Amino acid sequence: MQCSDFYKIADSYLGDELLIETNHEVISHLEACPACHRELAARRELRVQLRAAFANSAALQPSPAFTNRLHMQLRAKALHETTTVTWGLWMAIAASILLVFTVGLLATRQTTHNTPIEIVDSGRGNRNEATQVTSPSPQPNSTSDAVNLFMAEAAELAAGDHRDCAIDYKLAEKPIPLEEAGRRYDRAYINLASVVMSQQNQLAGGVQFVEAHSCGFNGKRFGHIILKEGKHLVSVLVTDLDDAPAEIAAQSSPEARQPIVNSSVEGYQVSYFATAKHGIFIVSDLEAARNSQIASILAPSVYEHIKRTERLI
Amino acid sequence: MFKRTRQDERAREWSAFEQEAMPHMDDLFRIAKWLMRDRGEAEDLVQETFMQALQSFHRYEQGTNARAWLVTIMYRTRSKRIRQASRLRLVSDVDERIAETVAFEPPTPQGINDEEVLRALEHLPSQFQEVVVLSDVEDFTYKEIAETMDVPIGTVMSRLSRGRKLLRAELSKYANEQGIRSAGADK
Repeated sequence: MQCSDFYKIADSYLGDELLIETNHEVISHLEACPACHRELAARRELRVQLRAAFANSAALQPSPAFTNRLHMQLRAKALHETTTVTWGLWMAIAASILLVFTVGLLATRQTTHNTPIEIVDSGRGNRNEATQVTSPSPQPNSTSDAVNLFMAEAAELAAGDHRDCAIDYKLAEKPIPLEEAGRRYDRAYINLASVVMSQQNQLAGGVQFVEAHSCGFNGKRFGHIILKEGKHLVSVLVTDLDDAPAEIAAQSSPEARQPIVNSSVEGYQVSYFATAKHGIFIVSDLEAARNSQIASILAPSVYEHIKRTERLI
Repeated sequence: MFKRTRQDERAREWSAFEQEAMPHMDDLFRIAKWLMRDRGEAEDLVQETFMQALQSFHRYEQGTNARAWLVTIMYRTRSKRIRQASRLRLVSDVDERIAETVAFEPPTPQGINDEEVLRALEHLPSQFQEVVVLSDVEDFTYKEIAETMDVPIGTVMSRLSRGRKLLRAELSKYANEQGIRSAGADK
């Protein structure tokens, strides 16, 4: 082998791309030729320098927050049921929810005769403030149905926001800081993250804060707190109910509180409740009972916080 | 019953994906950041790549080079984005001619720091940079690079050879300016 031959195949030799026989020829040549030996060392050195530069450059390393978030998003996507639900099926689901609520309300009214209704957390045997329902003034069924239907639709939007923002991170519009959104759009967002995180100890289960921002989904703006429990992402979403039918807002007294409703949208668990002017949604792929429990723990403080901001409006 | 079986299947698939693909996230980000220059765009690209990889994981042949498979998905995703943005840049003949003019093998300077190496690499035409990074940094074979970049193996070999020459020329130029000694220089 001549030096010129070696130069032509030196890169392939370094990349271990040569046939065994050719490799032997190169090795023999290198043993006899110091110049080519130095040339090979120079090429090896270049590779070493390049690898070191890539490995050491801080600018080329991913942030732990990014890798952590992507890991959780992928996990949620992998384990989440992604069955496509047709519009017809949605209508059937909405009708079922409506029917369940109507029957439920009729049943409770028949048995309580205007006494305050309380839903007790049977798991702990204690009265659960979050799921307490204050005695509703008798209302026409049509209004209750309208409220339920409206909230069910809002829950679908919340689940969609959780999916596109927290899980897939593919919203058309970039989220903005929560406090900025609080100044620009809705005072309820101001300090919302602190209020949610004030319940961290009560939530237990290793619930951690991931991020807080305001984002939009299908034209609906949300205050969005993302938490994680283990490998599950949990969204706390707050949105105004300004677009609710006028009769709903008119009949919602500032002290009225809806029960926590648990539903499943696109495989996500959605637990939600409302103040007079806001809907609060807890969305995750946790077990239904745990999602509801988180909602119950967060509800009193979040409810009080939002009610306070509503009084200021 | 069916739901439980489906969930078990999903859990198994995720476990396999986590084992095969996730360890390469840092490598993919480094390549993405190098290609895109911008951290946000690199994160978007890596995210889309992994999401697509997850969706098509059933097509991945277990035991083969998962990193090469992921990088191939990333290159295709990037190409699609470039096409969508109508910013398709064909391989420039001028770049190829510039590379051809580097006739000799300059020595490799020593004592050059990492930032200077990366800066020198940045001065290369992009098609040479990419091949050099995939080969010398990521240790891809010619065949894997060819599949990733969707070019013939011969093109990979020639770009790699020219890219390395250009890189050494850049480093040598810098070393001369700084008075740094070179490895591989005849003594």
